[in-house]
Amino acid sequence: MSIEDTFREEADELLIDLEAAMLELEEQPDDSDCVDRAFRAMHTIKGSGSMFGFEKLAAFTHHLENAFDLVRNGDLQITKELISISLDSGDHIRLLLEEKESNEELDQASDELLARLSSLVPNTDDQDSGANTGEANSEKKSAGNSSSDNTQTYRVRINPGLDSFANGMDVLPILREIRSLGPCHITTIACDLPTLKEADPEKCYLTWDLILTTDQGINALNDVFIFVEDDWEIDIKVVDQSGHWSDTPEDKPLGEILVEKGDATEEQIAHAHAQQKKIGEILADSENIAPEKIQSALDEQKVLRKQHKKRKASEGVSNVKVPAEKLDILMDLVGELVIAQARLNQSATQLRDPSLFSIAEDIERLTTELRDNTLGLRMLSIGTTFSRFRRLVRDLSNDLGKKIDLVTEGAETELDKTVIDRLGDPLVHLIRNSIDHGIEMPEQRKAAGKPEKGTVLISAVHRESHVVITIKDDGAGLDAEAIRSKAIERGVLSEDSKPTDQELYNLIFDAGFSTAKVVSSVSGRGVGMDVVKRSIEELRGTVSIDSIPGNGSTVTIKLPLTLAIIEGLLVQVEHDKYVIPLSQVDECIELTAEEVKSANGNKLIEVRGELVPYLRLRECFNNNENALDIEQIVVIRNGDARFGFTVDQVIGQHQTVIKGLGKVYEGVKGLAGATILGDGNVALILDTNVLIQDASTAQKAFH
Amino acid sequence: MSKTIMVVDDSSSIRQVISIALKGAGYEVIEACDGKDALSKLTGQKIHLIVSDVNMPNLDGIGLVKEVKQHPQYKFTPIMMLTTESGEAKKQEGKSAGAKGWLVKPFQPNALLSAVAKLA
Amino acid sequence: MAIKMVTENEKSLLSIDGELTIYTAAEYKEYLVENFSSEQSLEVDLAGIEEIDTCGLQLLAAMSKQLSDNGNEINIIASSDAAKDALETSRLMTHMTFSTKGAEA
Repeated sequence: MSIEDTFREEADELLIDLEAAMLELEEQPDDSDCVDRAFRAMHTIKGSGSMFGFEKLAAFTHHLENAFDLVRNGDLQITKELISISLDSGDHIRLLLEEKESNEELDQASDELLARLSSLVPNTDDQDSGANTGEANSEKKSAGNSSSDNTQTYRVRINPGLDSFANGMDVLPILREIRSLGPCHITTIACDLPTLKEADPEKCYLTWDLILTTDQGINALNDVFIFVEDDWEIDIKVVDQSGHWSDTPEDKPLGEILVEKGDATEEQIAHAHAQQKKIGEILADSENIAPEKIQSALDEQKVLRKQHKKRKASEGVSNVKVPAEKLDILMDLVGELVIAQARLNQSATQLRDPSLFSIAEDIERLTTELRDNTLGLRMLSIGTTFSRFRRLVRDLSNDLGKKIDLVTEGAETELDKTVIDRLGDPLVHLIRNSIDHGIEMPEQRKAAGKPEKGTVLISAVHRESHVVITIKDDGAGLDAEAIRSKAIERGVLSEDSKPTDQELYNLIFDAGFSTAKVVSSVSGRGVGMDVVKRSIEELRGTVSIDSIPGNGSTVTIKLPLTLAIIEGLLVQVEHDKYVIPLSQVDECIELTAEEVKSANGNKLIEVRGELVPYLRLRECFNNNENALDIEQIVVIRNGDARFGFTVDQVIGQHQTVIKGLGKVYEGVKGLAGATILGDGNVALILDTNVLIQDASTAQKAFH
Repeated sequence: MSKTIMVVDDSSSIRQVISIALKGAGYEVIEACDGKDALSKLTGQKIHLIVSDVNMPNLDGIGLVKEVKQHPQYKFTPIMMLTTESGEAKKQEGKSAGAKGWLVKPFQPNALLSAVAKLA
Repeated sequence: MAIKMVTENEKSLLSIDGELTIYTAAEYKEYLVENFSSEQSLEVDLAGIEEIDTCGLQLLAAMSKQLSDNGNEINIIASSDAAKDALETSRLMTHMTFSTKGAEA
């Protein structure tokens, strides 16, 4: 990726941030935090832009930055118009990002936006369009702002010298003043103090070690010693600094601190290390190092640890950018490793070698950890997608003259990056549908006794190994009767069938149904819903809709956390092995030949009073009508219904790395992919949704 | 227990300014108008710090420091010099005589208090 | 003199009143050399302290060090505000035990 691309990507994120800030400001115009965010976004885009040769962009952005600076200083009010200009400008900046070279059309658009802006901003400094001058100004400001983050930790050693007391210099006032600068650990070191008898009471034998954490800066600390700096030995060292990548490791070893301070030699530390005890104790006991000095070093260690922790917490948001392909490669390698590990396990089991077995166990543990961590790397919070919708809802409701609130919940919910990327369009479609057809016009709502302002709620929540996303509106809901008649007309539904309302609603996802354009005006739904469904199913997810007439509808999307690896149940049918995603599996039961017989040819089995339809995989994939005397049925939960697959044998749980099927088998229905087993053989991963669907259609046709 | 500071300056306005600042910060203040006056007022009471001008009639600041350092009862009392010249020379002279701190006139009351706090 | 050491039953109690500073340090040191022993644990009453400086603290530290070298303890049983502030600021007595009784006469 070129630097320019990186800049574009960064700018894009900043623009999303700008957008989010604007939308929040629309609700709360006095949120100074949002103003700061907007300012920073513009500031950064301008600064980086001019560095990478986006002169037009930098010049344009400068004016916006300027405007937000005025807002920050209270010289400009946040108004609807300013927000609207900013949003439009954000879009415009996106165009400028694409088009580095001069372009008349864009220039004109720039001028128009700036003209709008300048009508709001009191005497915008027009000659100050050069990005550089503005840069210098704002740079100064941000430097001023960031001073609050200048916390440093100092190690201070004070040795007043023997004559200090006699000279009228007391140490306590100095210590008090240092303590006023910030949290401070003071250790008085008395190791050079002779016995009472030998001591000259007017001489100073003591020294002090301090660990001070302050944001007042080194000058304030130096100032404390202004009267004594010529007479006392004062040693100040920065041991920890915010905003810097500290070269000290998280936990600096005690020995290292002591050596650094000159309180112990490398040899002493090495000697102490050779013994298996707490190093502090040894050093005090056998190496003759004053316990106060060790205490002081321990204090330092403690303070640093705390600082690091604090820093880490505040730096938690800082990220390292890695191209997605690199993550994909890593994921692939982890996948290979998982497969290799499975083979190792198998060999270890076969060879019955205990030592090999324990290695295999270790590797299994490490592999699992590595896998989880790698999957974690690909996780992004869904919030960025959500913030896109706020803009969508705002624009759409303005266009349609509807009043709509968008409420989001669970923006922090994490999902695999690939899933998130591919989820955007279906979600946009669903929200668009809710707004277009679900939410009524204000007057209609009022007449129906509802608040004028409609609400669209998007929420994301983790549920086991899935993320459940719901899009809920409080609009008119679906018209079951209209769907029914259309479905019959389209031949999707037979006239005498009596589906539940829920089943009817979900027909709108049916391909045959939604291609009919007219439906949209009748049911208010339908267009493109099959595309939504397909997209979600491609992500190995499910989508369903429910509705309460007059009260709105709810679309529920259930997605796996990741696409790369799943926990599967390995089953065998004749000589072939298949994997069924474990998350769908409800239970495994036996099916005897007698039970098959008693069902009179219906492929139904009674499981605790409930009739569960099943599909014989032997018939499905092997065209083998013969059945074993006892087969196993793996019962799957599919929405609210249950469905079974008969297999010869259930082998067990299997960590399944999903591989594509390759060109030849790509179109095969009912298979979601393949995986490589420990013994090198291939197992096919079942696409249960498709299989169930096919089976149900077949059965319906049969009835 | 509040600390006692002796202020020595031949300018009464400066003495007053310093006194007000110190009293405001909770110190007891004893005023003297020159070095000689200051010595005559060292009569056994506890004094934690002497703040003294350099240029004074009768006995100047440097002379006062030397005398105090010889005084059996007050030899440990820290002395802070007030210098008008920002010149290093006087400062060094005062230091070598035994003055512990210095403050260049004109100064802000806060600077005075901060300097005093380092010594008493 | 505002310093007094009382020894009875293998326990010593040292009370210091008024000023424990460089002005009194030399005098008190002479007294302590005569009266202090590190052979038994020491209790120190600093409730009457009006003024204390680092030099005064150093006297306490010297005793404390000798005591702990002999496996005995120094225990500050009472301290005035001035004494408490100085002890806290310098953390001189981290290895001494403090009584929680605080400043009482």
